[in-house]
Amino acid sequence: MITAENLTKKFSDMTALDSINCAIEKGCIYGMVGSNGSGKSTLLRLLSGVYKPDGGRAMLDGEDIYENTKAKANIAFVPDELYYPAGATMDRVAAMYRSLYPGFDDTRYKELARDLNLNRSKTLSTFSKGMRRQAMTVLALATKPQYIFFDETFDGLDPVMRNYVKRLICMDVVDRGASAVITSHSLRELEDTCDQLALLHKGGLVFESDIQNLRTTRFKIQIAFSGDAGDYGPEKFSGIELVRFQKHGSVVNMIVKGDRDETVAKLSAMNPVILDVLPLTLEEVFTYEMEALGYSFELD
Amino acid sequence: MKNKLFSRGIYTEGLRRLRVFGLILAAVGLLAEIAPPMVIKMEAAKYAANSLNDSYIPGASGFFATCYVLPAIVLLVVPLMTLVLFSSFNRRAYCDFCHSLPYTRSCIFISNVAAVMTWVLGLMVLCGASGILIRIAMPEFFALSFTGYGMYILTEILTALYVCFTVTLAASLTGTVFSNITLAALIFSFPRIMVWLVTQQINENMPLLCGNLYTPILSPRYNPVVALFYNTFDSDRTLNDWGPIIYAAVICVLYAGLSLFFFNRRKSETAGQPAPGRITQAVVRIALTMIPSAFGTVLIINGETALGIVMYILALIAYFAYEILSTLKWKNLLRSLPAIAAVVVLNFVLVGAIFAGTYFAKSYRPDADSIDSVRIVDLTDNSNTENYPNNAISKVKITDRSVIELVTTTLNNNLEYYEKRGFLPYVDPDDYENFKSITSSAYPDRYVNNNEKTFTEITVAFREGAVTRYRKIILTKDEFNIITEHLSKNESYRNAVMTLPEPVNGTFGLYGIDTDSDDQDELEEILETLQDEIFDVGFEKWYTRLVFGATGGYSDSITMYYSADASGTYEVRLTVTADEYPETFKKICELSWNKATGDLELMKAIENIPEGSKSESASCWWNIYAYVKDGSGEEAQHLWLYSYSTSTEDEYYDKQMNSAETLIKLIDDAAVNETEFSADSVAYFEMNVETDENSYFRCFYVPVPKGFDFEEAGFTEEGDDMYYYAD
Repeated sequence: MITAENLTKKFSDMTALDSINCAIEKGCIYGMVGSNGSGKSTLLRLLSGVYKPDGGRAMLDGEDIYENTKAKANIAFVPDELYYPAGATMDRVAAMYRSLYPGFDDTRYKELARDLNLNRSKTLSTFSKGMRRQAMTVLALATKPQYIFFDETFDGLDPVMRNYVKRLICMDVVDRGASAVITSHSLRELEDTCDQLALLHKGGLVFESDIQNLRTTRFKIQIAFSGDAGDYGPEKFSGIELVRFQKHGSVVNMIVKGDRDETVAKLSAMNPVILDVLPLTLEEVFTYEMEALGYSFELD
Repeated sequence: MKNKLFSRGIYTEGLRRLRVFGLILAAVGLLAEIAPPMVIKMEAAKYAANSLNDSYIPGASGFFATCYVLPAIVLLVVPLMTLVLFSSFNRRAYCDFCHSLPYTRSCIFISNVAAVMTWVLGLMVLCGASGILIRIAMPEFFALSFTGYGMYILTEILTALYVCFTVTLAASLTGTVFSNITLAALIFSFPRIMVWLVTQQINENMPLLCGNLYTPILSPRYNPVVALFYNTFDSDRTLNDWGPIIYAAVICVLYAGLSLFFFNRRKSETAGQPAPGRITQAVVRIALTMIPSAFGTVLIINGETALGIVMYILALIAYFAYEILSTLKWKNLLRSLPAIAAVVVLNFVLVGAIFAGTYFAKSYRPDADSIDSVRIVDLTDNSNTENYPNNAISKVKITDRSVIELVTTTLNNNLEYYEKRGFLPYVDPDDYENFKSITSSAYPDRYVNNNEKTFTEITVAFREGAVTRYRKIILTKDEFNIITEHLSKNESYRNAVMTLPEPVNGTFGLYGIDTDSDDQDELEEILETLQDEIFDVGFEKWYTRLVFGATGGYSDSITMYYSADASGTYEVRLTVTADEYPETFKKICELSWNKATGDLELMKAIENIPEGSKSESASCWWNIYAYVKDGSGEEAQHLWLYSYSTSTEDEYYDKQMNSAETLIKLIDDAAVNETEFSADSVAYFEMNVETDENSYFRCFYVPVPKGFDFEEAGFTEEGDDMYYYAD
């Protein structure tokens, strides 16, 4: 298991990550979302041993990851900005990986490249951006790591390729008990793939939860009461954790956090004439959570 | 996975990344090694074909003459290759990739350095071996010697490591190529430049000091990079000493340690930034600015105020230019302003160091009783003594109290003189009267300023306890002779002066006489004769000749030279005079005469001068110097005959032809009669004869029989009108 304990990272005068605590279990797909500059890439780099923490610890099975070759041998990192030697082909990079990663599986590498129709003897600089990402994903998967980190990797892939890569990752997770950490701006992608999701904002962890739990603990309520169009505000619903409160006439739309059944029971006890419970998409969860943190933009 | 210090994968990747550079440089290096010997061979063949002068003395082809590409590899290839690999860490993508690998930063560092050094050593072996092999294949042109190879190879490797670690240190501290190069250049040069400026100025203020000659660690040439660079132009003996080698090794270890330390601390996120923080950026900027500003300060100390101000302006420009060029942000100019104060303070520190050093240097006024021993380490006044016999005599410890008293007193007198006059006695004649009035009455005519050299400068090492101080002192000839007399009783000193250094085979030559590889054995025998004559003549005469040189020209003295060590840095030049070393002089004359008369083509060309010069395209000229003693054997004359090429219509033509016939007869008679050489009477011929087919230029001695009429031949005393011909 990879754990972050009060993990802090600073760049010059700016704190990129502030006392983050999270845990990535074995055999799971962990999604990470957040606003731009929230610290997702920084967190991945800390967890892969690229950065040294300025505070706290990043650990793999209880051991610090930074400068720990044993820990890093179990981690593959596919960054947003890819590196490959100038003029290199896939095979050349594979040769490099083969010499650098003892677990590199040549057979797997060739199979994946074939399946994705990637020309192994063509220089990578002639590949499109998406094809380069595919190539680097193939190489990373061929190293058969215990943990594989994708930093906005999917964002450059077409939908068909995305689905294929997701299936590959799932296969690794199921067959080998590997774990994948994926950062993305596309919650739709993460919703289908991830078991766990973390939301970061301005260097802090807003929430970390498994997807199912997220869906059941955040929902929209539409409620109205008969004959009473008087003023009332969120205080009427004390005891319920409100993320958002909007009243149009007598109808109230609320975004609520908490146990669904309990909340419904409480609201039902207030004898509303309308009480609808609507699920939220992850995108809506993200948007409303960020709005609550003050991260929203309106057109004038 | 264990924490390894070396990764074969990273190492192989490094080798691969340098492959293109390595192969191109291998081709260039190979060509550079092989081409010049081939050219020498072709040129020599062409020269021999066009003239009778096939003389070619194979120079001592020691390490640097044979493997001359190696310094270029160290000075150019090493920093280039190191920069190629390590400047990659200036890119975030590469940095992140490397640091995500299951290897420690130390492992990445060491593996990359190993890749650089593998290529470098490979190139050195390739170029060095090819240089050696091609010279082995051409023994007529190269006298290969492997003496000193061990030390030189060690020096080259250590210097390569030193250069590599300097660049890695810079690359570990900075994050752009521009700042990598700037800091690497500063690490190379800054300490040495500062030390050199301070010591130079101290020497300027106190000219009896010896520069950094005897505190070589302070000399720029102690830095192996500087020594190798200067060795390209002027053989540098520091490369043959253990001191610089140990120094280079220590610096290597220090820089390697620092590089590793900073590379481990280097944050991946600082890739692409000129420096990891403001302090490092400021330090680089300040160091860069200190160099021109320090020069400005020293110029101002020496009264060159205008130039000094110019240097200060350049310093300011450098200060701000570096900030702009490294950060590409104009707003940083204002932020960087306060650190200029550090430059100002450091310049004051520099001035303080100079004045403190000068004060301490001038304060050294030794008492003879406190001096344990002295050594005469350099007889610097004569260029002939730059190497021999300094190399030998400088090791001889002198404990004779009168010598110690003399040199100590002379030093103190020189210091007093300098304090009063502000200069040392290399004065012009007008100053002599002033000098007499203020110098100590004990030495009223100490330094005589006329055309004859009557004073000399030597360097003395004063040993007091565990400390040795080196000072120049200026002695009159009489004072020097006092020292000589004492030294002549010192057995070690005598032997050191009188024992000629062992020659390197095949490196003999004579100034002004054409010799070649065929003459080497004979010249070695001549050297043995000279050695015997030196022992016969005695210490004083030989020593004086070494110190004060020889007057006269080719006709009564000749300089013989050879290499005493394989690198060619130690060339021995010995002046052989006709009156002091007659047997040796005679043998040299015989050698050149036999060579000339054995050359039938030359003799034929000389015989044909009167006829041949009638041709429009032909020309001839000669310079003949004659040394003749009078009947008593005491007085000697130096005579001279000169001519130049002229057409048959020239007014001097007839005179020249008369002269030519006389000289031809002299040569013929000497050859026919087998006239023996005598040191009392010899002529040195320098002849140039051009015919329609060929040109012949040769210098040789001709035995002059007793009673030869020089006046009839057109000779005159040297110094008279040069255009004088036989009537």
